Amino acid sequence: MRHLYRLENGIARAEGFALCALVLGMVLLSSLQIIMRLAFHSGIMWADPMLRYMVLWAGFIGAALAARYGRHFCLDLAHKFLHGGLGRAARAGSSLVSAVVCVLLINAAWKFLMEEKANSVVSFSIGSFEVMAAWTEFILPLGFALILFHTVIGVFRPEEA
Amino acid sequence: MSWLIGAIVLLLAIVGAPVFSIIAGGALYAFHRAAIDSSAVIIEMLRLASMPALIAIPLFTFSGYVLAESNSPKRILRLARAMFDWLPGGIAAVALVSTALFTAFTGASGVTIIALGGLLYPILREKGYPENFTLGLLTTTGSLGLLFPPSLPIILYGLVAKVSIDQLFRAGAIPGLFLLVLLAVYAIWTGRRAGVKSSPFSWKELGLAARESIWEIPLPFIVIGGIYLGWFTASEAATVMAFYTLVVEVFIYRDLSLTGDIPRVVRESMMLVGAIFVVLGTALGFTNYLIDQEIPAAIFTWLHSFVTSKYAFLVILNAFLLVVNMIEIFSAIIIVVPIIAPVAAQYGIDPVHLGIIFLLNLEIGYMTPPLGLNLFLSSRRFDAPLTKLYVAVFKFWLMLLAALLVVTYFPSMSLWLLN
Repeated sequence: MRHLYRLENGIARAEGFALCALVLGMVLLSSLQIIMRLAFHSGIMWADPMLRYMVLWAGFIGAALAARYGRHFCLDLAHKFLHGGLGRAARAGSSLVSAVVCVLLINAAWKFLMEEKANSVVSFSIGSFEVMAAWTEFILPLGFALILFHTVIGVFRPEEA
Repeated sequence: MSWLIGAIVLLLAIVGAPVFSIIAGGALYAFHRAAIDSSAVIIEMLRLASMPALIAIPLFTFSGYVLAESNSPKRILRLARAMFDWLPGGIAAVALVSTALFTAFTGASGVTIIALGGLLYPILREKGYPENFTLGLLTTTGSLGLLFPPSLPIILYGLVAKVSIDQLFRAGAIPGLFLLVLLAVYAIWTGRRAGVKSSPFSWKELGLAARESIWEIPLPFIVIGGIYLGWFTASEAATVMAFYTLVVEVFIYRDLSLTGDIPRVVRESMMLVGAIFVVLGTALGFTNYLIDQEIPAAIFTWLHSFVTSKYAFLVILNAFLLVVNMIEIFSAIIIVVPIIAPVAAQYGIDPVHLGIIFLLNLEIGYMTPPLGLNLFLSSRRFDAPLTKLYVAVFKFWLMLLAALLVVTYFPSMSLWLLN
């Protein structure tokens, strides 16, 4: 179990790095777009689609971290009013539900991604370089896999102070 | 069968299953029953990537967290005190204006009570405002300002309801100011009765406070002014604000360090964004299924058989929204809006006006006993039992409810600035 916790910490750190890179990248790239528009009445062709996928990646990696720190929206009546064994049981039950749903979503996302790959769908182009949908959309199965991972570990993780 | 499913959903919600997993489970089940492949849920989810204004959500959230983590709450408060504290009961006006501004800019995620409430509470008490009034006021102000740009719930509403975000920003101005004035009048009146003393006005203090916040003063003018004047769209305003706050707080004030604090702020803000995104993404599939099954039309037909008047419908709508919004705010927008909007349209309600009604309900929902989020935040921040807060907010709650009725039945208040 200790190795798993260590692995999870490593993954959470990597998620944090990725988020910083994505957020700073979004701020700089979208600022550049505005400056280009105001100063030269032009813009970078691929910047807008690129930004949209950066938003998607940042959102789903954020969702993975939110699973680690228990930040997903829930009715949390149980968390507010149930304590002790009953509260732990409710938390384990809710984690189980989310784990099952994540498995189904990973399966659905993977099937979809394979179809996109088979059809060689292109998300957008940077000059003559084609950015494949299979890469930009890879965040969907990956994101749900990370949520699943954090959720499952979370059942066993001792409560932090 | 549908009762059984309803019972399962309710049970899952009560044990605290994340909202996204309940919706995704529902969507997967619905598609399975309709013999549609489960990858359809993913196709709907990917519509997230084609929403052009979606970038406004992460960027505004990030800038709001940057502001909240810096010393800007202290600077805003000092400036507001230098400006208004000399008025009789002015300190309450200080509280209202500074929290409204702060909530608008930090996206009403509850940070106002944590960041500003803690600073305001001792000041209000020291000036002589009664304890119950102070607790009630600060709990209420936790969501005040939600109707002003660039608040996150407005942006989310616009995205989900497919209403122009710029128009919603304009429509929210007068109802938002109306609420602010209403509460200010009550606060000043209470201050007079409690014998609250005002401080002498000092040009020197005003000058010092203004010089201290010289870099933050332009921000509302750039963002709010820029949107109202049509210089840039909501998502461009988000970019401008993110860039500006990052430069100002990290390189000019040096309140936050780029390597020490910013990574934490990024993680915190993106966790909120991620939580919103997975609910939004899974709900796109689910609500689309409901619309395909013509559920809104069925609700309208059923409702119209005993509620024919638009005004009666609005009463029912408000009661329903108050309960829903008290429970979970962001999810409420994402799930309820796509179903309610077509029903309201059939009753002849303007979509922008509906947005303002919805958001005002949200603002009230935040402080509605027993489950409103502000109550829990205040209880933690001010170390007060929940039951005490229920009593403390009651008068404020009634006042906001009265304001809601006015905003509901005078659509021109919301729509006036659109023309």
